[in-house]
Amino acid sequence: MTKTLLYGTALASLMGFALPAIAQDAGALDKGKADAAHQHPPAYSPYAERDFPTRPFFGDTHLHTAFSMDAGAFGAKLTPRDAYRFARGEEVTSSTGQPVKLSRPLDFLVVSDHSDNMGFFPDLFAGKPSLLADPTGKKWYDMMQSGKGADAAIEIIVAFSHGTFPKDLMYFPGTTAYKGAWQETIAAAEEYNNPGLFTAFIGYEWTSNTGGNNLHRNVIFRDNGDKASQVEPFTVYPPYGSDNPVDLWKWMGAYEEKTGGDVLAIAHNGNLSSGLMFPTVEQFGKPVDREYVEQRAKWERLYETSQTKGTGESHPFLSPNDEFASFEIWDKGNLDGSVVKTKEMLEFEYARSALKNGLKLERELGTNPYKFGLISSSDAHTGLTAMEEDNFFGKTTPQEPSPERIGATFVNNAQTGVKIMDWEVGASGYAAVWAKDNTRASIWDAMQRKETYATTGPRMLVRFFGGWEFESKDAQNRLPGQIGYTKGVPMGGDLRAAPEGKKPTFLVAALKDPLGANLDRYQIVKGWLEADGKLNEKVYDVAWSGDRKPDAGTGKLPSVGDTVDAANAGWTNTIGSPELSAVWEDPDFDASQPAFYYGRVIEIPTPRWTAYDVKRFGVKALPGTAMTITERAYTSPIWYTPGT
Amino acid sequence: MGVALIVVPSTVAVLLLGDGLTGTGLTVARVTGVALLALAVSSWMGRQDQGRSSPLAGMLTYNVLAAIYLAYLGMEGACRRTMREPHQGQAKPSQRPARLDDATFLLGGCTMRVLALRNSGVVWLTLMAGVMTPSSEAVACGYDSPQSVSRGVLNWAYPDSLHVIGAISREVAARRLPLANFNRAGADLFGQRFRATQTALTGFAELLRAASSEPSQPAFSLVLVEPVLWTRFEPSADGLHAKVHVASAEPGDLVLVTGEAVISEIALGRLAVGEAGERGLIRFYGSEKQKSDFIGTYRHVGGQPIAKWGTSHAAMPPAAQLITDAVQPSGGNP
Repeated sequence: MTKTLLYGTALASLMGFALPAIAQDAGALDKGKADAAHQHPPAYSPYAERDFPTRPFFGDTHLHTAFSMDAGAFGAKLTPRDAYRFARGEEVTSSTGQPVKLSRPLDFLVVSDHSDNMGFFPDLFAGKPSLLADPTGKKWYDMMQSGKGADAAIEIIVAFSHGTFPKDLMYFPGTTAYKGAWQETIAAAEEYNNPGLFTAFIGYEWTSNTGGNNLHRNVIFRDNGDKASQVEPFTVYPPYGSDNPVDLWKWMGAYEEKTGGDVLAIAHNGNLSSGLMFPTVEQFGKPVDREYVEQRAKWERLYETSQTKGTGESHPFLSPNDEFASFEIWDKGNLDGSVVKTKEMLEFEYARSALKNGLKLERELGTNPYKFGLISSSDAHTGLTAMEEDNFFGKTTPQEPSPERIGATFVNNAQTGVKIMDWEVGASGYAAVWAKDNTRASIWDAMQRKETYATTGPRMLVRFFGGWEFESKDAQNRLPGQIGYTKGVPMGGDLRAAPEGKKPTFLVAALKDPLGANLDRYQIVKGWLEADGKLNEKVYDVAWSGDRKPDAGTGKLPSVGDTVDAANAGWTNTIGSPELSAVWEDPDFDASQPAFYYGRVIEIPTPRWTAYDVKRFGVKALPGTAMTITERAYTSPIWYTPGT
Repeated sequence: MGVALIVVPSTVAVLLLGDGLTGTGLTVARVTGVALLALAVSSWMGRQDQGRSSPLAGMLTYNVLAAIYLAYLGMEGACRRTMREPHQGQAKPSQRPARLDDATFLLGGCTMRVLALRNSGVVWLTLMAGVMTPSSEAVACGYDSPQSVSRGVLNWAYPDSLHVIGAISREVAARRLPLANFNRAGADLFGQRFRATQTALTGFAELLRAASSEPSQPAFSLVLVEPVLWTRFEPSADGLHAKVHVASAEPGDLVLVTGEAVISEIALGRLAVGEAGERGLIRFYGSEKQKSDFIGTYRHVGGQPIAKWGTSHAAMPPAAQLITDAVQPSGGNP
């Protein structure tokens, strides 16, 4: 079952090599295409004439700049243009004056500034003429120029709070100022979008946060500025907007109808939603009905399973038998700590339980609202998508590297006792998208079909195919892409109507990040629904490094070990494997039970960003500070639906 | 047990009951800790001296400590009521009546929180705490809450002023600057860190007076970025004196933006003002004349220790020793 290949294999060889066009993007090989392929003899070059994604593109779908009201208030000065420059590999100066550069460029970026009050801070402090034309705007600007910036800022917030903000200064949909900020966001994306080399998406974050419960969504346009500029972002403030996701979906539908364009929404990690992210009974006072599940399934094709504010794939309470479930967990409260977390909330916040509940809702309502793919992104408010452990520039400007951050507080709600320290903020993560080209259309289409995976930072390459005919020898093939698309469907796909006597088989393959750590294991997580409505889950180890043997009693695979030297922020790749591949057949398959399967690839332990801070600044970490991490990737699931 | 309940109530609960504490559970545990401590005092005094009124001492201990703790909670509660990620501030105005203290917490400096306290009706708690604890000022000005929007606003009001954080970080990483006392882990129950910084600022004023032959030097303001602590250096008969913990700069002031460790090093005579400016550890905001006059007058301030302090710790007066201790935590940087 397990196949560990030799070290030193050329890293690029495994994932993308394939024979000529004998498959398609979605992995469903129809007869016409198969016939066409066989009529056309393969070229000598195995890399010519391929017609499926041959490499993942790495990027960030959730990054804030100074255009976001909160990021600006926290001192972020970098603009969307700075953010794109940084993401494509340029060195920039951070808002705290520190030179910073990625280890290697990213392939795409969505600048997703908060739609409410977008662009206000930079405009005011820059003395934008339209703001200075208003007497109050002029007064605030003059106060700032005369050293009374803090007082001016107080007046601004008080005016916002009391509804006395001058109408001409408001940054809401329909105002000239707001339109200007949106156009500036679009212009930045247009300027830095370079098809084939770097994709700059147009997007924003809709920021529903009622009661401190985080229901944010990142809205991403497939389109260019000509269409995106025909609308203004949806906001939360009434009467311009709404905090109900259903209204966001209506806005998205209206956009597509008006422009003929395409747009999708990615739900924010639900771990701070007080159990509201994945409702099963009601939401916003209305029942979860057929319309709700259909609309959610239509507009929210992906889910942000990991970011700086924690990872939301699974929780130890929900998955007590999963030894890797406790990973960068934030389960103390909601976004502002005003609501203490209870165990009852967890089921409706984490991806795995949502995937399970989705099976049940599909049985009841005909559509699975939680049939989402997985990605990670940063949610950084610095303009810097710097999510490498040794290059972590924090979530907000106060958390940019400094001797202070290791002991600083992120949230402290004295009323509830919810306290989260800066060290708990995670250097996570990135979205990986299997697309054919580095363009808006190609990457967006891959997101739409969920051919994506989440990584907590490293750029490991992960393949995951499901089908009925994979054989053990397929794992020996150096061209899993070709085999996978020919015989099955990729991550995000569907298996339907099990052939008589067949069990689903999965071809898995993973390569380490060339700059990162070796791999410990490749697991498949399965969830399924029994006839009586009972939901189940199980984690299978399907490929691992070395000659470890699962324990005969528990079935658990022994630990890979730990080479981390936390004091020196170092580790060695003397354990683990640079690549893993295997073919796995579900031994517990029941053709009558709906199920999903997704891959989870785990690295060997490495130093966490906190270890680098301790080493570099000579500071002392607070007791309990995590100093090591087992980075990982989560693939989008493949769903099995019986009888279809 | 009493001390443990006061200092680490949640840990005690985990050890005894298997689960931590949150919310009011923490408060109840701490008050219980105070009661146990008072009982211990009572018992101890009864054992030491049969003639003294040990129950009275115990009750006095309980009343005083409980009052201090509740006063602290009152102040902290007022200050932190809006310690939320600003997303919420945008999303909730229609659900929660706007309050001035919201704004003061979000955007104000240390003294802005006085407004917050007044508006939340806990002035009496503040006053009581002010009388009873030396640390009240420290608690009220951000030493308990470093992550504040007030710091972020500095970056706009004084363009790129937060670049001093990057400069300080680089110097600390190069072991050319010690850690600020602000960075030290653990509770600062008695305001020692604030007092150390206050001492450094008054020491800095003393150096300024010594450096200028002309006592009537212009006033200027200085803000330490970690706690966003404003200090105004105002002229008097014998030169500039530090007025620590003011609201903000006065109009027309030259403004210096720097960090705790920097001002401490200058006060200790280990870092000259001019060198700090060149290394980006101090940033100056004002007219070109104000800046050049300041640098011209005080460039060498901090370049050597004040003679009367000497060079050994033993020779230092308590104030200087306080700074030294603060910037040289045991096991920390040189």
